[in-house]
Amino acid sequence: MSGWLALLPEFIMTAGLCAVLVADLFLPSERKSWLSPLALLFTALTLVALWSLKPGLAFGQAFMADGMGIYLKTIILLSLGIVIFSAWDFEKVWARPQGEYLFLMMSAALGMMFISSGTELVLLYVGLELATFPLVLLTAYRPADAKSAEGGLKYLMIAALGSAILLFGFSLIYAVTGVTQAVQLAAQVAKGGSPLVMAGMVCVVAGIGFKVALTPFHMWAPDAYEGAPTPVTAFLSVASKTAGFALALRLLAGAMPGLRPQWAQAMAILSALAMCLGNFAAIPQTNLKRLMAYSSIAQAGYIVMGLVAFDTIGLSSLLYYLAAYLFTNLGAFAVIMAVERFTGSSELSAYTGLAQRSPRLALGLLLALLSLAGIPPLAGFAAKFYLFAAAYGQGYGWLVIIGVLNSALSLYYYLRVIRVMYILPPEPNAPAIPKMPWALAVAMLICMAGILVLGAYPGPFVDMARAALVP
Amino acid sequence: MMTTVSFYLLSALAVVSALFLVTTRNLLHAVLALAVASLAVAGVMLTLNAEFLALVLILVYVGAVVVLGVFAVMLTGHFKKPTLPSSNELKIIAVVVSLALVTLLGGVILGQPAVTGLKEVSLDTVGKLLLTDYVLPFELVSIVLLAALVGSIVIARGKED
Repeated sequence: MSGWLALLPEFIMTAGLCAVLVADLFLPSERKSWLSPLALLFTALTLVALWSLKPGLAFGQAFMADGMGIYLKTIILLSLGIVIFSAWDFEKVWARPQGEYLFLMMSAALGMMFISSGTELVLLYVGLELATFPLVLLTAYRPADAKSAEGGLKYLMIAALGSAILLFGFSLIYAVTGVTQAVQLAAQVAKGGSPLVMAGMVCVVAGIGFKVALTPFHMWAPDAYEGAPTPVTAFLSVASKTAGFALALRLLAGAMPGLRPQWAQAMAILSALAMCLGNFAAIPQTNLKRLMAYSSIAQAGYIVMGLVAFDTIGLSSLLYYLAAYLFTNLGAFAVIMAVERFTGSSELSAYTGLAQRSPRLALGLLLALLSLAGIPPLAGFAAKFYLFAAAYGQGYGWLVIIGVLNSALSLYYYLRVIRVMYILPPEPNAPAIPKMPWALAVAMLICMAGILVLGAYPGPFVDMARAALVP
Repeated sequence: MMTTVSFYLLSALAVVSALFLVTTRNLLHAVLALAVASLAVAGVMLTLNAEFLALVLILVYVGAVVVLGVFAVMLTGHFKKPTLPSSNELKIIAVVVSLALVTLLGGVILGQPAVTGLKEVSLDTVGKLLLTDYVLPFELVSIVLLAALVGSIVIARGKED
């Protein structure tokens, strides 16, 4: 029975999503505002359970609540909590049911939690489906809006293709090794990779590429990001990406360390492609959500460098980057949500003269974008610095050069947004931006604090990431 | 001998009906071809002694997916005339890519030494495994289904209320 204790956070999350669904059924419509606190309460309880947990195994070795799992789950749950905060009154803003929205967000988070701790192929696959399905449905959550329907459909098709390729890879690997558990798989693979295992590994790399939106598997991202309700986009860009890297860590680093030279080579090429395409394609964008989609493709390219380096420095920088990325991206999306709430648009033109219309929002977006570009002393700089150092240390100098050039390039389009906000005068008939609702302000403040603290004192957080890697 | 012959016959049927599925211009014919292809693949599984897989294929593909497809085609009224475009601009690229993939994977699989000593997996074993070693993913699937159900109802209800 002791193994079950390792699953306590997952059980609480399951109870939470059922509670939200049932409460939604019985609450009268004027009390629906109780749903967000309820979801937040269960998210907080899950976090407490997660942190008070001793690392442990459950179900043989299928589920491993180790340091890395706890670290990744913390990021996923924090992003769930911050997004719930920033879309406290989802129903009022988006005119779509709140209860099902919270339920779907929490089920996606549950799937991501299982990916973070899963060390067995079947469990990882089911977790991946649970993490993807609700997000597809949430992307198409406003079927009356053609963009939402289009984004949802594209996401569905391409996510299904990605799952199929991943599953095909699993079946090839299983056909040769006959095992599905990561530990046994690692031992089998170390004996010498047969060509069939190599083919399986290529499929697995492609499947991960779909999940984290690496070029050339990124096609779904811009449409899904633009079409989804903005809180969903925020969750998609942070939590879903974290889960994708969790999948990569469990499958490539955990189950196939013996094939590292091969998959590192493949991942290095995907990383270079994602950085170049993401940054170049972001330049002409005029919609901020679409711009963030391409920016997140490029960011995924940077993060993969940690996996390519594959030593303690590389993997801990990857984990640290995910934490920095959490606060930075959610901060940017909190501002996008606030502007969208009052102007009804996420086009760049809605941001003209934002510095005069709402200095706080403009400052928030300024910090987040500079952190994404990697300007010191913000979180993004420290994170990028460690990643580049790790990749260089493992002899991937060419990748670091591409990364540095791309960082410079990305500054161009981030600065373009900043120019629109700070240099251009506001249009005379621009909609006014009143005071922000308190919950959104709290979400934004948490993110800004995260960006500044992680950037100014990276030491303790890097140590935390390193400690998470000790099995 | 009998098994070998039926294996090749069923495989040929599966390939032919799959080709018909992607080339026909009538949506209803395509759905029916999917039924034939799934049945043929299920037959192939039976000749390989994988009863459980064959049953699941018939149950899920023929029983659920194809019926759903027929409903969708009938309800949207796309069965009267050929509605699919007659040509695909990417046809040549598609042929080249799939041939390359088949050659590559086929080469790898044929180069692999034959797997021997495989045990026949009975329904009994599958059931026991699902409720012992694989009980966690098995239970997790129920939440996947619940989420899919809730989400699709919300979207199908449609109107912004």
